[in-house]
Amino acid sequence: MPHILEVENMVKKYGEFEAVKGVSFDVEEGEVFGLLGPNGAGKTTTISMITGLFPPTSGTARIDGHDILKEPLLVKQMNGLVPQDLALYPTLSARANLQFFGRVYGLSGKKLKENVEDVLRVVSLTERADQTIEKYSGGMKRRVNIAAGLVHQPRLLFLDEPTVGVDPQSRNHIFESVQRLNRERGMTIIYTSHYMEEVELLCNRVAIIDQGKLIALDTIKNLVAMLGGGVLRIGVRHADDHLLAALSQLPSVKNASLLQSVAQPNPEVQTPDLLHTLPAVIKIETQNSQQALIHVINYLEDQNIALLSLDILENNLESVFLHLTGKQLRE
Amino acid sequence: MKILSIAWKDLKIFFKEPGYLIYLIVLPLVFILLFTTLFSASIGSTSDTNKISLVVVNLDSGGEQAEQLLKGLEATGTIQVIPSTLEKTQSDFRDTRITQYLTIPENFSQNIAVGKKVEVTLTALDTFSMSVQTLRMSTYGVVNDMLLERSILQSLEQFAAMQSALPSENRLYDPEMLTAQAKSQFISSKERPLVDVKVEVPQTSKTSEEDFSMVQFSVPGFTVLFAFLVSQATARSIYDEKKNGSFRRLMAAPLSKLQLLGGKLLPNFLVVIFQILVIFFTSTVLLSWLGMDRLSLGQSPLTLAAISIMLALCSTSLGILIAAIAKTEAQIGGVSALFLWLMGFLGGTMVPLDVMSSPMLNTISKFIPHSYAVGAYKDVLTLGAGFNTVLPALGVLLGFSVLFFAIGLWRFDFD
Ligand SMILES: Nc1ncnc2c1ncn2[C@@H]1O[C@H](COP(=O)(O)OP(=O)(O)OP(=O)(O)O)[C@@H](O)[C@H]1O
Ligand SMILES: [Mg+2]
Repeated sequence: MPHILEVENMVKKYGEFEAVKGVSFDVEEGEVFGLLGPNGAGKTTTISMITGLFPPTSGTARIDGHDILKEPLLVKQMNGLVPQDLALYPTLSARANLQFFGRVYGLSGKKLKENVEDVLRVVSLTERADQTIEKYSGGMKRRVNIAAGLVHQPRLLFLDEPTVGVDPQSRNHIFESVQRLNRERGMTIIYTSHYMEEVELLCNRVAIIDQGKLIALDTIKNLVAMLGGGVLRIGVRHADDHLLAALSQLPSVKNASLLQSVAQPNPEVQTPDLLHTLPAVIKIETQNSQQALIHVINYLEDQNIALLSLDILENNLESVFLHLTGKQLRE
Repeated sequence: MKILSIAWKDLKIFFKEPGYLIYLIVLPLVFILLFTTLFSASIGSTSDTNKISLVVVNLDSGGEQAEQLLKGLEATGTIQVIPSTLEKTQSDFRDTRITQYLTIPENFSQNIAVGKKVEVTLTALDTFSMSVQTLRMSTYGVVNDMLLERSILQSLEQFAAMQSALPSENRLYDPEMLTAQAKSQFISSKERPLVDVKVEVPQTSKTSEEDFSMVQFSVPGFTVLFAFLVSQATARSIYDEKKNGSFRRLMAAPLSKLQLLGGKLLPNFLVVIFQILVIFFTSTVLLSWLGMDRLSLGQSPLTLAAISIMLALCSTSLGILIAAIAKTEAQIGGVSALFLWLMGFLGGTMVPLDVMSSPMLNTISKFIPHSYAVGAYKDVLTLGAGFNTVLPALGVLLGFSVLFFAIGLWRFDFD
């Protein structure tokens, strides 16, 4: 498949601070591509550079073979951007907002009218289209925000955390819309999130980005397979090297290590309570979590070590991220 | 096309916001109405139903001509004569209990009788008010009618004397001769009026022959003041656009910077033009319906249009300058409003610069675009000036516009 987007070593510096540290990836036409990373990882900054909000400090990107720095207007016509924060005119109606954004992309007359009605249907807001945005619920505002990026029927749609602060109903609605746009219209979608479930549900391939660096890029299946059979987290009163070595020797266990970096100072990142209250949490990577669990419990019983807590993390992007960074994504 | 789309969208948002409409359209009208009514009331009522009271100091008491002048003034029906003494009148005037009085000099009657030139003095706080102008015209009219009357009487007497010297069968009142005699007297009195009415303004000791009314001052002043206040709304609109994130969408859209800025600035220009039309319409049509002095538009509407366009341009480029410099909500709101009102004051939009008569303030006003726009409007509206007279002011306004735009564009933050 041809690459509709090629990102080449993009860097963004804010003064001394390097928010994006040389990110490169390719996106194929027709795929839903996930950009996953915790708060402050540099997702929005990366997307903003690609969509031309500001130039990269260095590096570039090509869309459909056109350099974004050399042919900005041509490239921008192909992009649709749904910014992370609402970006609408609150005192205008949904329809007026959509019509305006359509015109800005050069639509007019019948085509404009058709497209506006079409995207209103996509986000199921036809009935309330003439109400001012101010009067909408949070979820409805989000839906208009998405619609505004779709009016000109872009080939490439950038969705920056479209479900943040959205009720479950609207959230499901957004998922359905994304899937339909991709399946029925063949729209390529770049979906940014720090919710790994969303990315797992929607995306074929995912780039994991942390602290401005790309740390993994593959299909979700391959990323999970790389980890093997899941992770156990056990809480004990005291852990020493002897215990860790013994656990590592158990059948089906790949590795046991003390989990330290979890208790982060960042108050926005919720760490489960047990990590604060318990003296020690051990992370056990397994080849098969079910079998390893039996061996671990038997061993602890033999040794008379009390098991204070137990988490079984089936392998998913969360554990991939944990494995790669020693940190958790949000939630 | 895209410029128009952005401008149209902004105008829709603008006209949905009642605050803006009140601030930029209603407020200037209220100011003009207030200034026009309050100031003419304090200077003297111009309304037809009330007579203008005129304190008269007659230093020629008992003089026949002086008495006749007083009667004549009363007879106009618009003036009520209040005789007073010089001392009392002068102290009343000093304490502004009265705003104008008429002085008839000593030997007034005697001098007229011997054909000597005499002068009555109308002393007034200022010459701006209609009532002073009315008084001056009335007095002048009365005095000259009186003289004409006197001349005719004189010539009749002369004629009678001539006739009495002739034999009685020849005593004919020849109408032709009579008319010729009267005519020559009339013409000479018009050409060399014996009595002049001098208008005196003690504080500034300036005499003014302009027919000035408050509306002629307040309209140009407030038009310019409020036209420049629109630039605050433009800066605000750009700020809002950045704050609510829609600026990101515009940056992501296939728009050139020229289209983006053009679209954001065009509404400023259009709103100023709209504002000026509303103010001028109100001042010419509505004020006269309300029975107040209406604005006189001068001789050259095209020159007015040219000034208005330059004013709108200058306000627009000030808009991008403010948007580029002011970064916080407070700077966009309070600080820039304060700045614009201060500029308005220093630029002579609220109090005329010549009234402030401070050399420092006058120097400062040279660096403020407002003063040129106000000056140009006044030249056309009040003095009846044409395009060539205001051309230098238009040039200066264009210069300010270019300067503001260049700095604004240079400092503008597209991120
Ligand atoms: N204008 C700016 N000036 C300075 N630093 C900035 C600026 N914008 C972003 N940053 C920094 O760049 C880093 C990346 O921010 P970015 O918004 O790209 O993160 P993100 O991955 O989108 O996070 P989130 O999930 O919270 O949206 C952060 O550390 C942020 O503080
Ligand atoms: Mg972000």
